Amino acid sequence: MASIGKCLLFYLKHWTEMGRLYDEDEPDVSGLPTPDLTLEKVWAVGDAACREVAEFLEAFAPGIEAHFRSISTVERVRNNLENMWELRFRVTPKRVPSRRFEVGVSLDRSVLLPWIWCRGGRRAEDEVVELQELQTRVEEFERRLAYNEAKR
Amino acid sequence: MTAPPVPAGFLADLELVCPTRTTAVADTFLADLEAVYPDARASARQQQEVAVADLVSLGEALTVWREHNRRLLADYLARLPADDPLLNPVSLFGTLDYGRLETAHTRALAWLLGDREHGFGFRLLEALLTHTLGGAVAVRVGRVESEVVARSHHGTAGRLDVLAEGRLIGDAGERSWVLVIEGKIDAGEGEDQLARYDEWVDRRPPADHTVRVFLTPDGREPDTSTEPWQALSFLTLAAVLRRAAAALRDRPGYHFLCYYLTGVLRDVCEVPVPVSADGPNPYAAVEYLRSVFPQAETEGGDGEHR
Repeated sequence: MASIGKCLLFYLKHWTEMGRLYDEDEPDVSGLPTPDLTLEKVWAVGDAACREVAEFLEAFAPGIEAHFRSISTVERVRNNLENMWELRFRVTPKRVPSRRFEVGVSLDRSVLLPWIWCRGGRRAEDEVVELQELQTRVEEFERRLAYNEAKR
Repeated sequence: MTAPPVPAGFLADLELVCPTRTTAVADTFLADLEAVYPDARASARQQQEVAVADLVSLGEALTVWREHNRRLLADYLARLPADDPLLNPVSLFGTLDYGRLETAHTRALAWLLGDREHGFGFRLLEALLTHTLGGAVAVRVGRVESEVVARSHHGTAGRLDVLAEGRLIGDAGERSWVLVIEGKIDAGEGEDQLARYDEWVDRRPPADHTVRVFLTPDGREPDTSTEPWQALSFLTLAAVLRRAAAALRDRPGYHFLCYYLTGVLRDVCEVPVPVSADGPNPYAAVEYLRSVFPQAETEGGDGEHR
């Protein structure tokens, strides 16, 4: 199971402050105690959090790939996880290759956000989500069926 | 001690970006890679370790910083009128789920800047020009339009979000000006988008002052022009309009302006509106209010009282 490192945890806990001090090139430090020293720590913790987030997100990759590979061709979109805090895949359904879509996991504002994106706006996204939910329901049904069979 | 093997996942990725079928790879490449891999891996793992004590002291410093900003915010909030956009829960476009719709914002901005039924005259446009030109100006306005079709000489057309033009009135007589605004919220610039607008602006009759404004949530610089576009954040725009709004309370469009500003602050700038001093993010509101009331940084400053 993926674990969250201590610097990432700190970053998530102090999301607003770390975002303003670590992400901005020239942060406004008025009111910050011992700004130089504090900023040095912010950068060290921020750098470590970026490394930890990359390891954390990487742990999701095999599961996502395995899930979509059963119905589609899955291609990892290479990006710098440490900078982007986002894991991304391009998914091409085997039966309808023209209906390509992207899925991913982002860490944003302390929320781990699984997302899905399709050309065509919300309607297309809803359709894909519905298909995924349908597949999940079918899998759940098959699991129950197998369980009931086994009980007999 | 033997070097750890190159992970299979890495080799699979390498095959993806550099397929052996189609790319000439030196025979020794993998062996070379294997030789440097342990050092690179060890070096990556020896990145500066952060001690728990450092995390504790940093956490304390950030808490002090947050409390400082909360106190500042409380001081500012005490100076705001009850109907201030920062205290208002209703966002103009948020009610339609169009809170970050670019065209809604830029069309509303063009409407506010022009002399329309809101009754502001050109007060907001004057305030924006004063901000972008860096000093108080008296202006005569010829026209303010939104979604202006700007066609390059290649025939490629784009729609400039806001175009305004007129004359500055000063001691040295009247001088012409043109203001163009291109706003972006979630989208990026199109290919050579601003360069195409530059070309269109350059083909128009020359103005003494050409003010190009690139309006974005974070005030970023544009990528597609070499001309001097002024990067303006929506937060700064809101502060400029809010300062001017103080003198417009009796005009028919005042409440529309307040709802518009609430939407800009909440939906575009992500300020937690309605703001309270004990909220988790006092910083953006303090930054905005510092700009609205530049003279009232500390207790006892002259603010705009309820």
